[in-house]
Amino acid sequence: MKKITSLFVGFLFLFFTNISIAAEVQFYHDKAGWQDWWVEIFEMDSNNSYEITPFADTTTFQATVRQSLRADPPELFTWWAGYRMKDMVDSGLVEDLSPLWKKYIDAGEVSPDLAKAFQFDGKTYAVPNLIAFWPMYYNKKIYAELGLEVPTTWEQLESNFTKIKASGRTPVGQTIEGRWPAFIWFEEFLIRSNPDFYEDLVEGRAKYTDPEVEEAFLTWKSWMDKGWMDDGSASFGFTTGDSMNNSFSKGDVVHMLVGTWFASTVTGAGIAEGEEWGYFIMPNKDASMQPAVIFEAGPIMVAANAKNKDAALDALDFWMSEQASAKWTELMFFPPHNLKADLPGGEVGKLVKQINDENYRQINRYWEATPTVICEAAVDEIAKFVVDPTSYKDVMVGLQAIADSYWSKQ
Amino acid sequence: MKDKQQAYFYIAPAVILVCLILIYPIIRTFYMSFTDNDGLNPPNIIGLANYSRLFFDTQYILPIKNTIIWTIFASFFPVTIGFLFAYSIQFLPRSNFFQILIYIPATVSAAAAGVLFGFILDTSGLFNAILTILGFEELTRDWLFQIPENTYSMITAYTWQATGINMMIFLVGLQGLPKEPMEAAKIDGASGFTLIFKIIIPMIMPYFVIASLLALINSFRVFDSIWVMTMGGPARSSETLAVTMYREGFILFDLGYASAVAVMLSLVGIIFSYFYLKLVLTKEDVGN
Repeated sequence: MKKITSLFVGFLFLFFTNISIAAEVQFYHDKAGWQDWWVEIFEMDSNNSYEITPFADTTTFQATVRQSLRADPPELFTWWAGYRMKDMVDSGLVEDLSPLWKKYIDAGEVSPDLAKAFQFDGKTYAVPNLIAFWPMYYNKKIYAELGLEVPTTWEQLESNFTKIKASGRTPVGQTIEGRWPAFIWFEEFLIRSNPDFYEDLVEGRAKYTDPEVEEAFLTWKSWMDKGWMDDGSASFGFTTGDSMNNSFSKGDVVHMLVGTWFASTVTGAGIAEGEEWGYFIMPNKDASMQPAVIFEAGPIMVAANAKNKDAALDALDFWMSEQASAKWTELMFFPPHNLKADLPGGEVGKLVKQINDENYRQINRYWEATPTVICEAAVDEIAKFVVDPTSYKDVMVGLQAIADSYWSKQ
Repeated sequence: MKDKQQAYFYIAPAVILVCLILIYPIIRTFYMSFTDNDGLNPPNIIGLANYSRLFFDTQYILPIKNTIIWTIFASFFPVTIGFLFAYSIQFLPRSNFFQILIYIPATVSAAAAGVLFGFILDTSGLFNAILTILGFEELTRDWLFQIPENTYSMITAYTWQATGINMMIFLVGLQGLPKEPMEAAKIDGASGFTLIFKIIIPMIMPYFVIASLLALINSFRVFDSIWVMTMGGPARSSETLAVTMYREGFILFDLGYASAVAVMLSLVGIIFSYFYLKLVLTKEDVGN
């Protein structure tokens, strides 16, 4: 019995010792592949100590964070912008970071436009960990081989596709692996014709049964019918086999529409950035329209019930600084959130410069721009279209039923 | 009295564990099924709203249909093939080697098996390569993307994994059979199928009951294989109720509704098992 008591006391001692040496700022994230870079950047912050916890599975990560927010949350965590963070904001479980933003906006170090991705009722609830755009990746080797130019009009784009198809290759790769990618081309076709309509649609002011949606599906269908797009069955990012990414690296597929965060995966398949692959932004159907690009911002948030909230706010103050932003850009090739930091090099740098110089309209990604309940059901509905493109009318009706079900309760 | 106290002390850890990780979650899930719990806000009691939604929403027809398909095929094939292997292996030299070979898939986690079959059933996977070599190129396809091939392909993968354990159950049964009735049957001219269906199967019926019941319950609640291979897609075409439960709970965070699906799945499983056991055991009694 004495032994058991000793063991129990020892266990308690270890348990409480462990708590007493716990890191000051706990940071949860679901980007396991970025763990080393998170560690590297937060090591630069001499004011705070961190415990950085990666989650390999996004679903587990989400469940853990949501369940912890009322009781014992991490100080900092990554999340998704727009409607994906709205319920946390509505519940008062995340901290208002407006004072931090004001400090940097007043100093001219961050753009107030950037804050919009994380704003509700004029308050800003996150800082950006990821800024990405959604351009077309194109295989420069195949372009050179076929004598193609980067398209600046819709007609040039389709003309390129015709030539690529004639060469025995697939002009555009698409995938619905993992469900969520189904929205990628849906949003892209919509914004190429009518970005105002897209923004109305995601906010429930327009209907999925409207002619603009039908036009988007018909364009998509015609591309698939002509063999300009594959059937969507390929996996996404593997660097081997028949994945969209690997087919792109081999030149079997010549374009992919993915966020700029995918760059290192593309290069990882053995194709050199700049020399063998590059970016262009899809031209609009109507060349007189303002150029537009899909924009994605990934947030870091502070849990309102965090034990060390002051330390967390101080950590984000460091994160917003020129020093941290420049380092993050150097590590990740993301556009910097601090305006004093240099733009990244390579293809992303050129793309960001183009977007800034040519005054591109930046449009929020469907995943964040529309309510989560609609989005999660809609990606499965849109996938029905990819599996059977003749089903577009049923899909439109199904999408509107999903939207009606949500908006009627608001 | 002292011995009795000591006995309680020894079983206490097991009882506490069962209460903590089984009884408490069951009670909590049942309670949550009557709430609008979203994992963020304090839940409100909403009565039977989650259950009525489950019964009247037409989008759950396909998951229910898929669950029935899984329950039938993923029970029948692993048990039947498991029995055939067990019966045949007895007559083979070095039967231990074959037992291990067939049992190995059962030791692989369902998630790992799912990843493995993801590669095998891919457009450029091993299965299509074999079909091409055999001259059936026109049959090649992406087996996890085409509907309804995806569901049947996953059941095949599941069968590969689940057969080993059934084979072991039947081996135990067959090895324990008394020799006299079989020898008597053989003297009376019974052989082949007659011997199997009229003599052996009735004699090892208790093992069939156990194997079928386990297979039935496991196939009814299968989730990991499906989630790894197709996530219930494309377009929810291969979704079962277990996947629906996960999707509602951990993607849409409608934990109240996911709990209602979980309760219904458990109830159907329990009711089905009860009547199955009752039916089979009654037959056994009649037979005896």
